[in-house]
Amino acid sequence: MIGEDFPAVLAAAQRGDEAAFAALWHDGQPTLLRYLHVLAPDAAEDIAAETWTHVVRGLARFRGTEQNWRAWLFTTARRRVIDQTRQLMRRPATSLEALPDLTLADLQGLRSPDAADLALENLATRAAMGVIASLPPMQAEVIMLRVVAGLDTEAVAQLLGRSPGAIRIAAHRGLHRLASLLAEAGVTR
Amino acid sequence: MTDRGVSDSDMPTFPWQTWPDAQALDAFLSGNCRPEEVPADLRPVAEVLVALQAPPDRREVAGWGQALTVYREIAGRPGMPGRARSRRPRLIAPPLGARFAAAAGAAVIAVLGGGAAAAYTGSLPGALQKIAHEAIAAPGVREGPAAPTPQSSGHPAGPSVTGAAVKGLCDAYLHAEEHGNASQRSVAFRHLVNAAGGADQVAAYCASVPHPGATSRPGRRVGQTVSPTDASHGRKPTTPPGKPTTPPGKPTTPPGKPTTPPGKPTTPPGKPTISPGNGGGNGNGNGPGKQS
Repeated sequence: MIGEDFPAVLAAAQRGDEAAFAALWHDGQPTLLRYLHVLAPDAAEDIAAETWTHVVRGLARFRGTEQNWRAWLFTTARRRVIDQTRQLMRRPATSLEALPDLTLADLQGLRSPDAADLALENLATRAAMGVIASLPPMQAEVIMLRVVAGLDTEAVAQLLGRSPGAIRIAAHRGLHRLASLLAEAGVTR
Repeated sequence: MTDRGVSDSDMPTFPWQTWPDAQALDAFLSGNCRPEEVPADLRPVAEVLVALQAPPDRREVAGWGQALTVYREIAGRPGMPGRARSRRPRLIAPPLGARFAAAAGAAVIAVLGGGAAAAYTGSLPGALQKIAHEAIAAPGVREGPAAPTPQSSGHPAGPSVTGAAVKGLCDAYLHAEEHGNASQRSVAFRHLVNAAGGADQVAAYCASVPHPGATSRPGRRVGQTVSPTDASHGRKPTTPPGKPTTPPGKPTTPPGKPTTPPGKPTTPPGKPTISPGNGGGNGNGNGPGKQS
């Protein structure tokens, strides 16, 4: 998170300041990649790049807080994933309004069982992402958006087109499931 | 909301008794948890959440060159207000704070990014060490049936560390707790656990330090109200308290060039070794401007 400097950094990036854009990108890209590696591990880098291209095009018109910014970034990425899934599934395109009804379960075509193939040096992060990717898709996505993207429940609800209550339940079930998986793996202490 | 419609497979039975309430879970998800502060049964979960928020790996920022190219190309078009009127984008200088924040942020990210490689050294948090071993076949991870923690390949640091060293570890942890991000806290805590000989020994370990400030500080518990700053999920590139007098230096990283040598060990929390840059920086901003 950029924090209290966000408005100034955003304004500078909108004016064409490369250092300010560097701050936005370096803050957003790693979290975006981690999120995408859980959703679409085979296409994460490409989708992230497309996402930034889209975001840069709309940057001058963006208005909002840092939470709005992150929500925009991840919404854009998610739409790219859905577009790609649709292309792969050769389904006719539907209106944007229908997008939020798609769940991660619809994205299974892009999902490989092992998100740990992200070539990270940080084994702890790789291992953690592998475990998250083994959760049911909705739970995995909600946990990634809450914990990694740093979005609050309401923002995630809006992004996924669900009620805040449904998001909370998905998150809590995901944590329960996570605890169970870890317990089964024998890592309780 | 009820749990109607939940399949049995979705609601397994849980072996622990201390599952936190909804509010505490919310704090958990907001990144406001530290593994050592949650019930022991939940520490593996907390460690996973902390690991998800680890500082960027250099491979995660490898696409910066491409992104900058796109930015220059698009930001240079007439569609971008301000940029279109002038090819010298900083005729109206952005606020100093923005420039400093950007450069300092990039520097901190670069420094922290190098620390990720230290995960290879076998000092992962216990839960993740185990997962990494099983899922990734991490090098150097050995299983010891009688080992209290899975860090059997770690250093022989133990409770024999005393006096100033103990205080230093506890202070490092408290410092990271006050000023650091989640990962810095994680690193500090890892060292402390290693020295104490186990996560459940930490309290007693720090309590043995004569300095009262090391143990009397009230910790933030899961579920407790947090300030907006604390709620920043521990990822804000925190300026170290010693305020680096470093000039911002070069505002942008050269495309594709890794800023940190691979395999560089973790920088101790709170002591980022920001290099002094090029002295005068590039403060007037007449950088490359538009790409040719």
